[in-house]
Amino acid sequence: MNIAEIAEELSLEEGDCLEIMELFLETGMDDIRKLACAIERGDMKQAAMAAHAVKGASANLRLLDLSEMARQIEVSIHREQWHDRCQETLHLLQVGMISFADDLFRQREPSPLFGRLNQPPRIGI
Amino acid sequence: MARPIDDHLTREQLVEEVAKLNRELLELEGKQEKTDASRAELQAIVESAKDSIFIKNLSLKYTLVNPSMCRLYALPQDAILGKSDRDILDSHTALLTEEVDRNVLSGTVVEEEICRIIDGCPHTFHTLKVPLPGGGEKIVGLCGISRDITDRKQAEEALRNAKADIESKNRELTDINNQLDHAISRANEIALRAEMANFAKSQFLAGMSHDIRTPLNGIIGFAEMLLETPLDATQRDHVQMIRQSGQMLLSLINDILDFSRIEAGMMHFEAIDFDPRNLGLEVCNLIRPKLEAKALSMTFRTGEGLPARVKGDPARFRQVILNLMDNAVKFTESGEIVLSMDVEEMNETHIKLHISVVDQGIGIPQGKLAYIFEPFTQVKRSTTRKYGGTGLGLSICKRLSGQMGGDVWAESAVDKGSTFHFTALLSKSENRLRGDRINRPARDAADGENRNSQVSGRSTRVLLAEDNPVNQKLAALLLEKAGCVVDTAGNGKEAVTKYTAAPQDFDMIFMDIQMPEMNGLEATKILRDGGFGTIPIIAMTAHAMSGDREICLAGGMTDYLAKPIKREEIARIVKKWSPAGGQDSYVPRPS
Repeated sequence: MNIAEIAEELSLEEGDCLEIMELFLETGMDDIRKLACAIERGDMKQAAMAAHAVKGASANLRLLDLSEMARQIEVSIHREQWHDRCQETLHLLQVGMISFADDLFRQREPSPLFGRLNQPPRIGI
Repeated sequence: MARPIDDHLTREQLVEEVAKLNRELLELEGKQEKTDASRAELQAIVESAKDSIFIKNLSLKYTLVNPSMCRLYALPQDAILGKSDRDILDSHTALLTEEVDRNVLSGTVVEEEICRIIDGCPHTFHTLKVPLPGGGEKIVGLCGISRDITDRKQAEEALRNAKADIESKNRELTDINNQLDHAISRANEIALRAEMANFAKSQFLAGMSHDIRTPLNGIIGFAEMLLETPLDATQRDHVQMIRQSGQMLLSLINDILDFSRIEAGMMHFEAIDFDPRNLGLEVCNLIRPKLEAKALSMTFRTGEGLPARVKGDPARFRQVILNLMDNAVKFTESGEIVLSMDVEEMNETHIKLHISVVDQGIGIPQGKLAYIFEPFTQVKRSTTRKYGGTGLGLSICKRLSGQMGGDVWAESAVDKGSTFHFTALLSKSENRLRGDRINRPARDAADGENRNSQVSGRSTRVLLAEDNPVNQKLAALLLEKAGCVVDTAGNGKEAVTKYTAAPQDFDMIFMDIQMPEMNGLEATKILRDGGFGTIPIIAMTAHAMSGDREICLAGGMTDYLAKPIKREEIARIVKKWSPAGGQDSYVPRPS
């Protein structure tokens, strides 16, 4: 995820984009929590709504991985394939969301620590 | 060559014989000459050869040595000829040589490399020794040719050394490269671990900020709602205090989350105008409730020349003062707390403020003064139990002040009280006239502009009905960019309520289809049935199925915007359906 690129694609200022991203982090995590609970309870309607919400919001923010996973869950729910596929994708979605959170936190300000070590200096004859 | 002469030869025969002998003699003489000639040639070669050439007889005495050999041994020819090695060389070398020589005399050709010290320098000789046959098979001696190959040897040695040198250097470099590779992979491993730790931390922060902010937003939100209801003056004051404290706590939580950002050097400071005196009063208002339980009074004084506005980060500035004031109250049972605000320095562009907080509290022992600004430190363990606190406050203050170009320090006497100093370098405010913008972040100012333009009616006024906060915010931003003023509704019901309350305030409605409470199609039906036939209603849905558009249009909606939302699409639709865009009214399609 690259905020600058997404901001450009959405023709937003980076600050605005970041703000929406943070909003998505909060609401998205909430929706995923609701989704997990609904799946647990077997509440199909609630689960479909939560998955739909995540799908729409992430698609709008061009977070295509998250959107695709949410879409798969939504489709699974509509096809009534409850536990075989949903749980697995849900887990992936949770991981994806956490990774998005991590990405977001780190992109607020660039981290100077990493990236330089990846290219080893070479000496020899 | 001697031949027996027959005693019974005749004179003629004898003459004949003599003549024959004479001829033979002459022949022999010719041969002798030839032999002599080739001998001389040979001699010349031997004499002039750079290699040492020698011949030894069966008793290993030299019978021939050439001048090179003599030079080598630094002896005249006479001193060598007729002598053996025993007479010339040291006994050990002579013995070794003799052994080889005997081997040669038994018929073997020997090639050897020997080292001798000559004039104190080691010389290497390559020597070929061949057995020397006399007439027939019998060996009568040996001939040797010896060449000084010291130079070549040295060159070879130097070459070998250089090669070994290079090889060892290469090995060293390989080692260094291996070590570097190792170090790099270690560093990457550590970096990865750090990243994972960071990941866990981010996860924690994300969770914490959400989990704390949600109930806190509830507190603040409900306090705000309570303020809308009829209240008497005291109740209003209290509710305002709840709201204000909630907001303060919220910003403090954010600030504490920022602690890790300060630590990582990733703290962002705003530069906006604010009134330092107002800010001081605000802090006092927040602190005042805490005084009531104690016999404490509080004074706020401002020094001469304190400007009405400065430019900096009011939130951080307030955080430091609030923290120092909070501490003063916490550690003082009775007496007075004085907050002072003075100008310490000023130049063309900047102003340095000096804030001091004087209390009459328990004080800090001299030895501990240096430590109180370290993270997670309080004077005593028991302090934490008695007075509470994370011990993070002063270290945050110290770091914040440092980032603001100032410092925080303290003077104290046990049981007399403490004085905490805080300095910050702020910019002078540029716009002194526009007082109405003071103390407001840029975003609020921008909103104000939007509100103004709404009144003047230049923009398209949009009611945006969308339940998902993310989509709502994004759509609102993009609509604003397309020149709209946006009001929002969280579901269809709210949209209907808002619109029907003031239909003249809106030029069009953007309506999400799937919403809780009342979906977009239901809301549209209510509006259309309620007589609002002309307002353009734009459907927003992610349903990519064909026929979706038809369903929306058949449901009374005017146009259709597909999700994910694209800026150009929004702009196009706004332009198409806004009153200024030439489309005056909506004509419902016959369904």
